[in-house]
Amino acid sequence: MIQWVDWRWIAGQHVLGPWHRLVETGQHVWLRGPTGSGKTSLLETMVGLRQPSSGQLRLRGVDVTYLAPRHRRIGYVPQDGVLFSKRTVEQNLLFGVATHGIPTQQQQHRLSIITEALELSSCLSRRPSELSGGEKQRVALGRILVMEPDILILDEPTTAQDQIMRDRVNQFLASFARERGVTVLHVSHDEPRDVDLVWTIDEGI
Amino acid sequence: MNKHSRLSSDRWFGHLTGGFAISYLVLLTAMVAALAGHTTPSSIWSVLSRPEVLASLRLTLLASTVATAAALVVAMPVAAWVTRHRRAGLVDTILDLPHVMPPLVLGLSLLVLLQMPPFRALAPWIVYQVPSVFLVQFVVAVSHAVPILRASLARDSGRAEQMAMVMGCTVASAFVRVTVPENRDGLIQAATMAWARCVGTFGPILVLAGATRNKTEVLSTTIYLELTIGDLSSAVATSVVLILLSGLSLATLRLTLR
Repeated sequence: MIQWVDWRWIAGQHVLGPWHRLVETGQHVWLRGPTGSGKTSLLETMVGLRQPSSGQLRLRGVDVTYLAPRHRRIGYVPQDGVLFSKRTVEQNLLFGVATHGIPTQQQQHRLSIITEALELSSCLSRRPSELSGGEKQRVALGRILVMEPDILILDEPTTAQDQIMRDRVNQFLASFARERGVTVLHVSHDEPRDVDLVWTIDEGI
Repeated sequence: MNKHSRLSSDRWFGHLTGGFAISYLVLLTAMVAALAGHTTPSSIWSVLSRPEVLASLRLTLLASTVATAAALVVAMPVAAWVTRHRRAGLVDTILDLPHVMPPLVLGLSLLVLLQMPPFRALAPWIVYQVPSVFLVQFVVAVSHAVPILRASLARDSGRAEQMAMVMGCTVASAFVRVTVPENRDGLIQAATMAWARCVGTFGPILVLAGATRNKTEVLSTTIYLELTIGDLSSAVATSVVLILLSGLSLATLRLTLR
């Protein structure tokens, strides 16, 4: 469950909000709005990369407003991917699970599922600089999905994919979330499909 | 004016900059060639086979390497802190001090500092002793490593470190596991430049460590000692060894970063 209470956040020079919303566990929310409307800033305050102006954020019933990002246990895929340039694709994909001390056998099992689904098997030993834009984006997504988070925040994760790959990735994301009961907040300019809620954000409202 | 003549009339700037670049390169090459032409491989070999010069070379290499390694451990967090705190104006000025300080003054300030409490207690183990060489080279290495690492960290948006924190890292582990490797090229460059500077440091070492043969003598003080006894050919041969060492480290840097 994600709950914002009187949530105000800063985007550029503006304080946006107040934002009172609730997402039930397992719901898939599609968030859209014009460029510069504060969507990315909202997501970054949620994951703890920026401080909110005021208000409270509750995840799984717990107030996490001032918790460090690692304690929020959110899977976040930023718009720009942000891969670790000196690591191989495989090392990027396993970074989070290794950090959380997941046993190696389990890491490898999850890795094989994700690499197959996102068509990354052939580039595991390559470095990010050797990947296409679409591959980089799928690595950024796969790196988070391997961690199997129960809350997933996606900031335009398929913009660099062609239409066929975009459909495949979205299909996989939907089944991944449904099977595991993951709560998803998905920012995208695409038309929403198979979602529970569609919110439009415009200057924080 | 047609396009062709416009292009021709702009060529003078390319010729001017090229002229400056070539003139400077000729000056540098002539300086090195003058030294190299003033000695022979057999003179270099004969200097290097003297026990006191070998001891000096050993201390130079050991102190430069240890000081550079220690300096990087300090310089990386210092550079990160300064880069992330934009209002660190006074800190910036203090960090730049070793660059504007004449080398002799750097040594003198360390010498005076070691006469003051509580550092005075350490003076018998440092001043005119081998550790003073390490101390001076450490200060020199940090002062040269910090600006290079700051430039490297300033190019790094910090997003990778943020992502590592979202993925479960503490601030410290994100810095060590992500920021440090992401700035690998900057670290190699800082290490090489700092090491090359350490190898050639003279003034502050002379003030704090003296120039005792077989004890605190390093290559730069060997050159000084050879000159004071009027042995120009040994001084030149040692200088060529010093240039070769520094040149080798710079060439390694270029190859590593290619």
